[in-house]
This record gives sequence, C-alpha cells and structure tokens, in this order.
Amino acid sequence: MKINLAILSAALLLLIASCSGIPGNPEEGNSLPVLYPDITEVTTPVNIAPMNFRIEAQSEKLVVRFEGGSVGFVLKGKDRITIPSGKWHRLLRESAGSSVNVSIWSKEQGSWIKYSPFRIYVRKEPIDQYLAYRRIAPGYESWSSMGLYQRDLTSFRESVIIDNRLLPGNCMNCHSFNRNDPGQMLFHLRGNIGATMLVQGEDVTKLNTRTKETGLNCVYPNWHPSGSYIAFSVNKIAQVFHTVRDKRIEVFDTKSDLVVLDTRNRRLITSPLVYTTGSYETFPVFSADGGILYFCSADTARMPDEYDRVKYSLCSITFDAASGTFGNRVDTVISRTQTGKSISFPRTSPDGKFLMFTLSDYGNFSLWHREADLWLLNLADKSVKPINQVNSGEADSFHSWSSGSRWFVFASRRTDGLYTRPYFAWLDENGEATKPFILPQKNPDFYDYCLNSFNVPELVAGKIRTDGRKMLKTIGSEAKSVTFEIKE
Amino acid sequence: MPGKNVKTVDGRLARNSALLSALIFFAAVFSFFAFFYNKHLHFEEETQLFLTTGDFFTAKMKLPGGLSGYLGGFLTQFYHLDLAGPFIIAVLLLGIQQLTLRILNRVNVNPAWFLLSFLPAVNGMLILCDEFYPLSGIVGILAALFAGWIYTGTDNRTKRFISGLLLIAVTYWIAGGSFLMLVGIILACEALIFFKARRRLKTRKDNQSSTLKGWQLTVLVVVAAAIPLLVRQFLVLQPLGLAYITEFYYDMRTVIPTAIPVILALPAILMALVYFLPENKVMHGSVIFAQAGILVILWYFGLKLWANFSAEQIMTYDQLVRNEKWKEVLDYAEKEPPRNNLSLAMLNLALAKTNRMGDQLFRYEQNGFNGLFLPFAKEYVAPMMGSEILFQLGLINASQEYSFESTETTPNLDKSVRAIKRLAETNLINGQYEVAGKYLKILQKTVFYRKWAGETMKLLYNEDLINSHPVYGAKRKLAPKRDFFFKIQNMEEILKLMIRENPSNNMAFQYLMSFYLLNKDLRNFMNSLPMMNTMKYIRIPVAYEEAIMYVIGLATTNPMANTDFRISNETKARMQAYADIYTTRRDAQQILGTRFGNTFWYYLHYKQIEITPAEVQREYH
Repeated sequence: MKINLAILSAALLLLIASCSGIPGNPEEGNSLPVLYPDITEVTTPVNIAPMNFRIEAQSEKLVVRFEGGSVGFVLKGKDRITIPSGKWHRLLRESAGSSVNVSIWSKEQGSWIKYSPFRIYVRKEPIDQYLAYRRIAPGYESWSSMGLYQRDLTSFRESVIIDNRLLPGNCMNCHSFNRNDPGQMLFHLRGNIGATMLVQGEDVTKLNTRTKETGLNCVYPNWHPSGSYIAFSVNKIAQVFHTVRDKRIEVFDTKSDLVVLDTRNRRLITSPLVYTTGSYETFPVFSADGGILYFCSADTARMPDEYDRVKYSLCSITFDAASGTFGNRVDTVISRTQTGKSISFPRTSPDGKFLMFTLSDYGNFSLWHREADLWLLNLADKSVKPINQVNSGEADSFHSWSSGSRWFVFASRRTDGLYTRPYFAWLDENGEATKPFILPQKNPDFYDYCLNSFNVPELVAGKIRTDGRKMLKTIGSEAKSVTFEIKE
Repeated sequence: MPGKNVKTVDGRLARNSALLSALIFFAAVFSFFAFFYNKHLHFEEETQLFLTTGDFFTAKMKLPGGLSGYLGGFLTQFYHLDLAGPFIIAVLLLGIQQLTLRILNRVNVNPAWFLLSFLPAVNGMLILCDEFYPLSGIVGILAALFAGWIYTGTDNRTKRFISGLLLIAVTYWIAGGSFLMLVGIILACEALIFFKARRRLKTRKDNQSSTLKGWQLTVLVVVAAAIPLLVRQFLVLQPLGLAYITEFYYDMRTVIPTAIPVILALPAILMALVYFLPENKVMHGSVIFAQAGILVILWYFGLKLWANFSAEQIMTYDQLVRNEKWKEVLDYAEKEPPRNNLSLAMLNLALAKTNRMGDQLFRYEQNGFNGLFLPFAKEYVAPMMGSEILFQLGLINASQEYSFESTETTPNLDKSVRAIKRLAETNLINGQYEVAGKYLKILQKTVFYRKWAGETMKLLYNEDLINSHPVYGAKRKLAPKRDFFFKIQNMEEILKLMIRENPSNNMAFQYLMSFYLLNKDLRNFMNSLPMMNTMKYIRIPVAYEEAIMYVIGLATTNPMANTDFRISNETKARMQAYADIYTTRRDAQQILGTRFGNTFWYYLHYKQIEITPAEVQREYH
C-alpha cells in the first residue's frame, strides 16, 4: 500500500510538473544562472517595468518560475523570457516588502539543468515614475541623432522631450529638475542655437546666460528648493584625446566659477568667494533646505599639460535665499588632501541626510575615468564611504536621487566600458545600498545593439508635459538676456 | 481613367520601340553604375548600417516612409557587390518607367508618346548620382506610382474616392514624401477626367464623366494635407517640411532640394502633357526618334549636371586603400592623378605602404600638409579617409576618433558600417574587448559583414592570436607606448616620438621626411637624415637626394662635388640641368614645370602651400 502511495505521489508530482511545464528530473546545477541583464539578487521598487532577460548559455529551452506572495507563474522561452506586464506588476505588488523567488530550468545540449534559485527583493517604496536622460553616442566632438527623452519606469514607453529631429544640427544637454518636479525643468541648447530653456509650469523661457562679465554660458545647474534660484557653474570646457590604449578622452575646464540665477528677475548673482581666478569652482548643488551651496573646487593649473594634477575638493558656502546672498566663508567639506583624489557630481538627497558624489583619480569629468566610483557623505556625522555595493571596474559617475531619497539612479559604463547605461539601486537610512539593476528593456538584447549612451539620468516624479510645438516656438524667439552682479 | 482603344498604324513599331527602349535603358543604367559610377555605390553601402534585427525593422516602421527606408537600406546593402547594385537600380528604375507608362497610357493610348514615360526614371537615375539621395527615395517613388496606377485604373467614382483616401494614407506611411506624387497623380487624373468629359460633351459624345465630386476632391486634398500634420502633432515631432517630405528622400534633413518636388510632380505634369498630345492621330516614326533624341540629350546634360566624377575618383582611391590594394592605388594614379587632397592623401598612403614615398612623392602634384594627412573636419568623408592613414601608422586611438567622428557626421544621422568595423578593430587592438565584442555582435547582424565579424570574434580576449595577427599584431607594435594628446597639427612631434619608441618604424619615418619636404622645412629634414641608418636604407631615395643637393647648393658653389652623401649621378645631372634653366631663363617656371615638375626643386620654388592647418579648439558637448 505504501509503495502504491509513493508511486501515486510521484506520478502526481510528475503530472503537476509536466502540466506546469517544469521539467522533471533535471540535473541540479549548483550555481546561479548567468543572465543578461543580471537580475539575480537585485532589489527593485514595487513599480518597476518587467525585467525581461536572456540566459548567457547555449539554451535550447528555458523554463522560469516566478513566485511571490500568493502569485506564481511559469514562463517559457528559448533562451530568453518576456514577462507579461500584468503578471509582473501583480507579482511585485504581492511581493512588496518581501521577495520574488525565481527558479530557472535550461535545456542545454539535450539535458535539463536546474540552476540555483535566486530572489528579487521588492521594496514597497516606489521609485519616481519617470527617468529623463539624454541619448547620444559617446563620441568626441560630433553627434548625429541625439535628444532628451523620458522613460516611464513602470513600462517600456519612451517619449521625446526634445531631440535633434526637431532641431537638426543642435545639441541639448544638462537637463535639470527642481527636486524631481517635471514642471520645473531646464536644459541647454548648443550648436547654432545657443540658449538655456527654462520651464516653469506652463511658462517656457529662452535665456541667454552669457553675460559680458562672465563671457561664458551657464553650464552645470542645480535648483534651489524654492524654485526661485538656480545655481550654475560657468565653465570653459575643452577636451583632448589620449593615444594610449587604456584612455580615450580627457575633458577639463580651463576656467570655471559659480553663479546663482535669480529666476524672478533673470539676474546672475555671485560672490568673490566662488568667483575666483585662483581656483576652479564647479558642480554646485544646494542642500535639501537650500541653506548651503555645495560645490567642487580645485586649484587652477596649466591645462592640458597638468590635467592629472587637478583634484577637486568638496566645499560649501551658505546661501540666504531671502536676500540672495552668499555667506562670508567657504568651508572644505572633503579635502583632496584627505582623499588624494578628485570629487565630482555632488548631489544631496531630498531628505537632507546624504550627499552622493563621484570620486576619481583626478579632474572633474569622471565619465571618462574608468576608476570613477560612487561615494556617500553622511551629512549628519560627516562620515564618508564608498558605495561598494554599486561600484564596478568601469566608470560609475553621474547620479540622481528619487524624490523619496531611498532610490537612486546612476550612470555606469560597466556593460562594455564605453556606453553609459542607467542603473538603479536602493539605499537604506544607514546608507547601505543594494545590488543595482539596469533600466529594464522590452528586448533583453536592446543594449547590445544600442549605440547611444544614456547620459545624465534624472529621476522625475511625473511625466514632463512640455508642448513640443510651443517649445519650438520659444526656441525660435529671441533669447532673454540676464544681468550679472557680484555681491561682496 | 481608361482611355479609348484607338488603333494606330505605327502601333507595332511603337511597341517594338518601347520594348527596345526599355532594354536599352536597363542596359544603359546598369552599365553606367557598373562600369563608370560603381564606387559611389560602394561608398553609399559602407556609410549605412543596416541590421537584420526585429528592433531595427520596428524602429523604421515607426516613421512615415519607414518601409521605403527599410527596403531602400536593405537593397543598398547589395551595393557591396559590384554588379548587384547596378542591377537593383536598373530594375527599380525600369519599374518606375513601366508604371509611368501604364499611367500615361490611361490618359493617352497613342503609343507614339511612350518615350515620355522614361522621364521620371531618367530623373531618378540622375538623382542617384548624388550620394545624398538614398535608394529609399526610388523605392518610395515606385510605391507612389503603383498606388497611382491603382487609382487611375479605378472607374467607379465612389471606389476611386475611397481608394484615394486609403492609398494616400498607406502611401504616406510606407513610402513617405512620395505620397505627394500620388496626390499629384490623383489631382491630374480628376482634372483630366473632368476635361475629357467636357471635351466629349463638346463633341456630342455620351457623358461618361465620373470625376469626383467637389467635396470628395476637397476631402482627399484635406486628408493629404492633414495626415503629416497629425503625425507631427501626435507621433513624430519634427520640422514641418520634414513631416511632408520625410527623411528617406534626401540625407540632409535640413534642406529640401528642388529636385525632390520636381521628381514628385513629374508624373502629374506628364499626364497633363500627354493629354494634350494627339491621341487618335497616326504618328510618323520620326516622332519617336525625335523624342528619343531629346531624351538622350536631356540625359546627357543631366549627367553632366548630376554625375560627379571627381567624387568617383576620390571614392575609387578610398576603396582601394580601404581594401589595402596599394599597388592598384599606384596603377590607378597613373591613369587618374589625384585632383584633390582626399585622393592625394590616399595615394601618399599607398606610396608609404609600398615604401616608395621617398622616391615618388613628387611624381604627383603635392599640396603640403593637407595632402599628407587629412585634418579633422566636421563632415564624414575626410575623417573616414583620414582614419585609414592614422590606422596604418599605428595611431589607433586617433584612427578610432576619426572613425567615430565620421559615423557621427553621416548626413542622414545613421551609423556607418565601415566606421563600426573600424571601431571593432581599434578596440580589439587596444584590448577593449567588451566594446569590440559589442561592435562585432552588431556586425553579425548584417548581411555582408557577418562572416568577418564571426571570424574576428575568435580573437576577442586572445592576446596571443591578436599579437600574432598580421594586421592587428603589427598595429600593436607600432602604437605609441607613451601617452600624449593627439592633435593632427602635432604630427611632426607624434611621428618623431613614434620613431624614438620604435626606431625601425619606416612608415613613420617616410611620413616624417615627407612632412618636412612638403613643409619645405629643410633644416629638420637634414637633421633627420641620420635616422636612415637605423632604417637600413641601402640608397638615398630620389626626393631626399634632390633636397640634399639643394641644401648643399646653398652652402657651396659646387654642390656636385662637395657632398658626403652618396647622390646618384643621375640626380646630379638633373640638378645641373634644373639649375641652368632656373638661373638663366625668364620663362623658367613654365619650362621647369614641363621638364622638372616631378621634382622637389620645382615644388620648393613654385608651389604655394599652407604650412600646417590652423589649430581648432575641440569643444565638448
């Protein structure tokens, strides 16, 4: 009787397995599958788009079981899995605060292999729904098709903010938002139209930020939380090209200073403390409350000959939004003598707890530095540490916080060393990050054939609803000039 | 819009002539692109990147005119084969002619006018002589003519109205700008039906008019005008002109050349023209010959206007260099001496690769630095060809930069398969295997580079295979070891550094010496001569002998005797003859140009050159 029961149970299990499509008696692999994109043991927000993937093996058939909460389903493919959106989002909702268990069976050389199962950890906290980025080839001086785009992170929908199909021959860069607000945005146009486009709600303004005093356009922006001010660096940027095999391009400033644009009266204000001749000041960023302006600073050097001697410290100066004035002292927050390296792209978290920055051997354009890594400054106790969970052997540089301060996106070249891709990671209240994941795409091969970088990824809380034709009309109009004032 | 079945006496002659003319046209187009203009086709093929992936297809299909763009690109791939491209072009153009003929026959059945049907096809051939007009435009025109043929063949007014609506929408989406050609055909068709009806009334024939009602015609026109606007409003944000013409008719999206509206309007114009030509009258055979004569004359002058044989020459040099056919470059130069810096730089590269630069540099008219290297320019041809020079010299990063710049300045904003291939090679040489693998994977999705990419894939991560590779291994050995910033203006210093690092780098040495000679920098030339010893030269190249003799002549009254250099007697004798003419004749330049135009001395005395190009500030975007 016992034998009969055992046979019956085994037959039942076999039947269940065969009905669900799960192969019976596979060879038990004791390693995780190599997937692209790598979604093993990553942490995702509850609202992310399906993480379609392929297995990096000679797979003839692939069976994948997803289980989370009360939801479970099995998907099949040859060597890749496309997850239906509805099932995926239900799975994530059911698994929020917990994890999704993923089991993979792959038929390779005629035999089924069951890889070690893995988990996808699902955080309840959603990530901002949109990601804005610039798509452009990681080239030298010229560009072909390029533009600013926004991607709905809950799906695969990408839409144009503005591109050079609309503005042939032009370049657009440095898109920036006030605390993830899609209604407060700016970006620069370069090429035959040189201007800064400022979007504040329904209003679109074209600005000429070059004044006779600065002689240069405003470049790297950061919004004051009030929306009344935008800090900029004014940079004279040049580039040179290496000849040895491990390096390609060096981008550097030959001049840079800080200004703050008062958007209400289109006036650039600055202080002699951040508008100096003896040092380069760049990458301004306001603290969460707007009371402090952080920036990077380095001693000037003979460029490009001394390009690798230029190392930036993280500095700060107070800023009074009521009067539009700077403090009377610059503080060094992290000194280059302390790090022996160079700081770039400081960004404060919206909750005011952290400041994330990029650390590289020298210079400020860390995108071209393979050694560039992300670091975290705890603004409460001033402790500094690398975010090892997300750093790679290739450049990990520009980054942006989600409005909830727990998610961040960063630009990484880890895939192939050249093309920048957006990666997302979770950061807890103690500054501990999780394994990052790449922006999901419908086709797992997408990044293989994509010849564009995703530059300056910025998380945005909603869809940017600029009217392209209205924007075009404003772009075609006369740019409004700005005035300049140094406040002692 | 069926015409009446009218018999003409010379119908057989006309039909035979039509068949013969079609064959002649096919043969002429094929021969022209196969034997006189083939390098243009190769050039177009290598400056596009057509992938066989689903995403590539989907991306095209999301755009108005996308199917034409896709098919045009698909067919352009076959330009890779010498005869396939001309065959494809000839077939497509013949298709245009045949569809035009069928449409015109519906207006006027008199076969005497068949030669007019060749005009759009001839026009199509002419615009294809300009590399900025892609084949997708021809495919689009073919699609529009096909739609026009359907429309003009529909008798029933209501059916014609409905088919007009559908055809306009479908043609716009699959063929793009040529939908305007269809609109022209529709308007011409309706107008001619209207006039034909009136004519019939006048001749008291039964009223068979089936012209669209006014509101129907208005709806068709409004729909045609509105579709691009709606697409622009809701789907593809782009400039107004581009919304109508679409991007598959001319590579530079910022301009709409006159030729495009002309070719789009041509079928409608021809319909109107043949309407007014006699329909029932028997025409003499000479009418056909007269038309043929006019057509040939138009074709001839059209070719003179559109065909760019200077560009064909550049593309020939380029293709030979790209395929490393150095000896063929020199043979070609004997027949077609370079007419500009692009060709000259390719020839000079071939001279260096065959170790003849020192002997034969001045055998061809030189133009200073700009004919030696190709300074960076924000367009795609000079960087693409300049990349070849830098690659052969072993300046891998610079070659990579030039290739990247080239593909990023391709006028239609697409990528170039040639640049992607070069980027795969430069990254492979540089040991950047991940990104090299990316490029190779992309090339594996092409028809003609798949095999090469598969073979090259085997080299990834295999240092030994690369180091022993005849091309990549050699380039690794030549590549600079010490880092410096590359600027084409600094080529002198760069070449000197490369020779210091690799004293047997004869190619760098040849370029360095040529640089000095072409810049008339005799001091540095003389100072560099001792390097020949380490290069193991067994004799002094002719151009160097000429320069040495000149320098010695500056310092002594008897240069023939006072030299430690082993100058050949032949060079000494030539210098004596040159000096005699130079010092005694008023018309020395003319005589010397004839007798000594291929010498350094003549270049030194009479060639006006720009020493080195001005430095350009490289901005970052």
